[in-house]
Amino acid sequence: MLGYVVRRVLASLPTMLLVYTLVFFIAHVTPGSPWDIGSNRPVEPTVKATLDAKYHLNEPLHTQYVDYLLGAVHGDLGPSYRDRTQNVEDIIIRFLPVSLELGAAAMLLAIVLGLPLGALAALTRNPAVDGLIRMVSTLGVSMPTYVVTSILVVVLGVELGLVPTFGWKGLFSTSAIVPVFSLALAPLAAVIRYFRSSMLEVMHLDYIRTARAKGLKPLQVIVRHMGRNALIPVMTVVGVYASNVLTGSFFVESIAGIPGFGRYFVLAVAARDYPVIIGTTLVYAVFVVGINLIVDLSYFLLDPRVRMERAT
Amino acid sequence: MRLERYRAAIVGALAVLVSGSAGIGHAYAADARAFRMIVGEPRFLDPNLATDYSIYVNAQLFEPLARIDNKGNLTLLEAKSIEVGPDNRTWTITLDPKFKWSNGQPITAADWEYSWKRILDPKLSSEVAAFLVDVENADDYNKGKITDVSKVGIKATGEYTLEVVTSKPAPQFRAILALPYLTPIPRAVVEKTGDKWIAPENILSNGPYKLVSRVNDQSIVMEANPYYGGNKPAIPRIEMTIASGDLCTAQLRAYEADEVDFATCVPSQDIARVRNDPKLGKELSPYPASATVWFQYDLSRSPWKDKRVRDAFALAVDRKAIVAAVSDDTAHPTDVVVPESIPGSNPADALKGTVEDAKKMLAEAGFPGGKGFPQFTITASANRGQPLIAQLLQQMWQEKLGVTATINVLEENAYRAWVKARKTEPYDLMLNQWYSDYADPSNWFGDLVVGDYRNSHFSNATFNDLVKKGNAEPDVAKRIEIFHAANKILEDEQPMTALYNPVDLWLVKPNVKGLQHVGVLDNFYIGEASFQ
Amino acid sequence: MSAPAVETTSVTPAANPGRGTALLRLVRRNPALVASLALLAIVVAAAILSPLLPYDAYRQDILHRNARPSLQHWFGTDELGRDMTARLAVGARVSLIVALTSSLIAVAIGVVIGMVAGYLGGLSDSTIMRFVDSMYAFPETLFAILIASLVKGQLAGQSTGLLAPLAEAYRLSGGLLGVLLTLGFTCWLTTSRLVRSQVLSLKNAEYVLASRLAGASHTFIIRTHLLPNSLPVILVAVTFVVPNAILLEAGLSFIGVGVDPPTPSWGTMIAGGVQSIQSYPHLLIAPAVAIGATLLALNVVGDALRDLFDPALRASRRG
Repeated sequence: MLGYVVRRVLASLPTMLLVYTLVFFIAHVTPGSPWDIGSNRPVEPTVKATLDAKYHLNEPLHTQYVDYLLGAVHGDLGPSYRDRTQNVEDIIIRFLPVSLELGAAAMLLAIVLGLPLGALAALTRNPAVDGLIRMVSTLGVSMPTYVVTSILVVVLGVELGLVPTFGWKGLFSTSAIVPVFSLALAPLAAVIRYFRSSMLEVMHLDYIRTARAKGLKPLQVIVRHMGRNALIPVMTVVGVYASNVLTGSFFVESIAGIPGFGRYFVLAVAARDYPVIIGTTLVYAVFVVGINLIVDLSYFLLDPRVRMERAT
Repeated sequence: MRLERYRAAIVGALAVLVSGSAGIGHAYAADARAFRMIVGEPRFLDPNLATDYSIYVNAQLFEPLARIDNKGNLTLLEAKSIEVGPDNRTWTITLDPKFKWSNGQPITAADWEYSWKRILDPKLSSEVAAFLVDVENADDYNKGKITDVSKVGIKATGEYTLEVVTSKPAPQFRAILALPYLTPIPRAVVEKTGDKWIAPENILSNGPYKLVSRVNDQSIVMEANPYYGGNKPAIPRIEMTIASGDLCTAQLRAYEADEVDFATCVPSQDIARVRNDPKLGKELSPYPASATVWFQYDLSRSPWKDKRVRDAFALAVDRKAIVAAVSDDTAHPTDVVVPESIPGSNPADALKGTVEDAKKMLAEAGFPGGKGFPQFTITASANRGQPLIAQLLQQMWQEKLGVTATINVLEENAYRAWVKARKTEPYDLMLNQWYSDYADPSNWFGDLVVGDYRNSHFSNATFNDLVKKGNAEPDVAKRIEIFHAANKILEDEQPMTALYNPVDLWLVKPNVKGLQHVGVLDNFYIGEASFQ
Repeated sequence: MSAPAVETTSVTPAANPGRGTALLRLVRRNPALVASLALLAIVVAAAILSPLLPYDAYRQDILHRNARPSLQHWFGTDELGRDMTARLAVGARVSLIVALTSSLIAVAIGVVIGMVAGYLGGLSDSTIMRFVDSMYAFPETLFAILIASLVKGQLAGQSTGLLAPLAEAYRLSGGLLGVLLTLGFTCWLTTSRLVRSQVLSLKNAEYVLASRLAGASHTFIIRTHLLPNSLPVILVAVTFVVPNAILLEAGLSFIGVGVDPPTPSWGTMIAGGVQSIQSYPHLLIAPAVAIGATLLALNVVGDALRDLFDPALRASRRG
């Protein structure tokens, strides 16, 4: 197993390099310079020249590409252009944990709500219940996230005063309610849909009928036999959404005033803060690769067939 | 019974719920006497670098020599006196020693000299340097033409006396000395900690507040400066939360939920509702900004080279409609670029005519009924309601002149880059604006028009001469006359067509007293406010 | 959000006659599907028939701006006094065009890449899939924002140089081209993976091998055997991409890199409506309901399509 993990990590290195190359060139080719924002008057050419020289922006692109890469490999992701007293690592350390907390809570909510609802939808003999669950869950992904978040902030925050309209006071405060719920909608819909589907598939398999015939209680059947196998596609789905949710949503964070990672990325794009853009994209990539690995490893736990395949 | 066993737990849970829900609701402030507001993340807390909205935050921490109020009167703050010698070039500033840094140490003229020379240091690449160009050798030093900083005309001639020499007689320099950008910085701290001197553990401020904590993109907390030499602030603590994205929307929502005491703007679509609200309407505090919003032409290309085309376009604009849509009639439509509050402006210089005249002029220019007029692009930023203005203009010109425009909206940073690139790249029309840096004609006539900061490629020799003469003229009345003449040329040539003067809209909770709009920059000073 | 390529199904009918009967059975069992198809038909009709509406979607009327829904204006008027009904209808057209065209672009790119990777196999396959993996590692919304800023920055207002014809096309399309390109370049990932796995399984089918032995060229095989048999998979991909494109367009409009005004699209209307949520809620409710209902319908139809084609998918996966 360790060998497998090591092999996967090594195999992800070219992927990371490709991601880096892509984001580097897209960011630098987008018109606009980091020194343009904020002021009423155009930036003096001498000011621009000095700043460009200080941050090596006047060097040819390929030199900058290599320089930054070498720095990144040694753990130095560069300074932020937007806030010249901070480094990219400082920013990541400060803002990523908030998004992680939020994202983890949202995924937990999605799983805790989604699994029972998906099972209910699959097992119920009433097609209306099934349809209702599926419809309500799909509604959550039929609306842009910022609409849901805005409505929640206005209704719960301004009109009812139940949650703060703005700001972050930690995961266990009312300020987490709106963002966690907004973030959870998409994965919740996916978990419900995929768990329901795979439960339905598994439901008619022979060994389930055997278990029922043997006289096992329905709950036992569901949890011990069906659940485990039905979970496999769900893990894939969770993995796909996790990397997005854990690194934060710009829309949710921006509207609810959460000082998180997703919001920071878009601010960096708007400000052409290249090191932050590149650094945060690399962090995202690491998350995706890491979560994919975890999901694949979870197949080992859930599905003995996979284990056997790997052994051969 | 089962319930008995769990009774304690149930009671406990209920107790927690009840006490917890008491905390849910409005008034989220940790300290009820803290002043709460929402601001955008300041680009620079370093006063030597800040020229944008950061100055509103910094103004609570750092204080300049003096201040110019809404009527143009100079009030001394950190200075005891400001005198100019008979040559009109040597300014002697006597500092008031009762002002101290927030750790109790005295603020000496050496701190002031160090700070202003640092502003001019080419290595700092500060945008504030532009405000000190009048000082002898300042521009040369800033551009790197000379390297000996002692040649710059700023010297501490005593422990509390500062001498500033301008390169030419410049009567408007008194106003420059009162700019909020020109504050001292603690030399010892900056030399020791460099760029990190603004961190809460290092920073020293000379204003009514000192910085207690700062979490980037999250919050800024200030407390009263115990060593402040002026009137001690009645509000002991300020808590600012940082918003990114739509600042006005975040502020209004927080204000309505009683989470902040003060909002500095109202989103355009909410203005009508706020004005008509019985409670909020009373808490609204408008203030005409010394600013103008306009659209301008690329005068280096046809058809914009032709004055008749420009005049036609200008006369076909319905400013009332624009002001209604963008600001619910709170802004003031204007026909002249330079705002009335700036000496030298003259509303009477405005272009006169009706829509019929506009149509005639367009026909004279060779495009009767708009036939043959090339399709052109209006470029606008995604912020400040500019997309709305662009759409209004597009339809006005389509209906009245028969010309077709397309609209190109760019997000803010891309837009600024685009505007700067217009120095050499062509365009058709763009929407833009200018907010006064200080209340002097040289800021508008000189910086904006002669300096062509917005790249309209307008160049008129007579105009330039007049502005040069005006800047050197010491007599106040004669100066205004010269700028009046320049204004006539500006409005006659119409390189830009003014639309409206924006009005800043504040919301202030009724229990906050003394929070005023101050000066041309619409500053606010929390140190002068109090809770009732 | 790139949806995963995991195919699971609901119960398929016991008998196994032709596709047509299965379709009919599906419709009878599934009233939600019927309702969704009806809704989509209405949306398309609105899009096509929009010129027939009494008010112009572009006509401004400042004096009557932000008006609540009334008999005169069924959905009220927007911040410039334009009729919301007309804007919703034209917006339907724009959003549908954007969704379908960008999906077409995305699917086309995905099919090409997936087909090439699957067919060539070996090192080419590995390299291409490595590239696809790195694209997966790029968060979708953020990639879209980057591309949109890039496209807008390069194409908008450019009248000289190499990009001039593209810039012209951009201008003529009213800014749509930018959104189309952005969405097309962002959404092709799932398609490429689905097509590739399909091609991999089909590649070694007997009739393909027979074709090769008979001397058929690669293009012939791709055109005659692989493509048609990949159609189910491609359609499944489309059912994922189209709703995603609509949502992504709304997201881009919120940031400010969406369709240029005055062209109405549901995305721009929703982004604008969010700003009026407290003062003029009708400006948000109308496009939100429109987008929500349409996406719901698309998801239901997509589910049904996926159910329909699932036997084909499952068979191919086994092979």
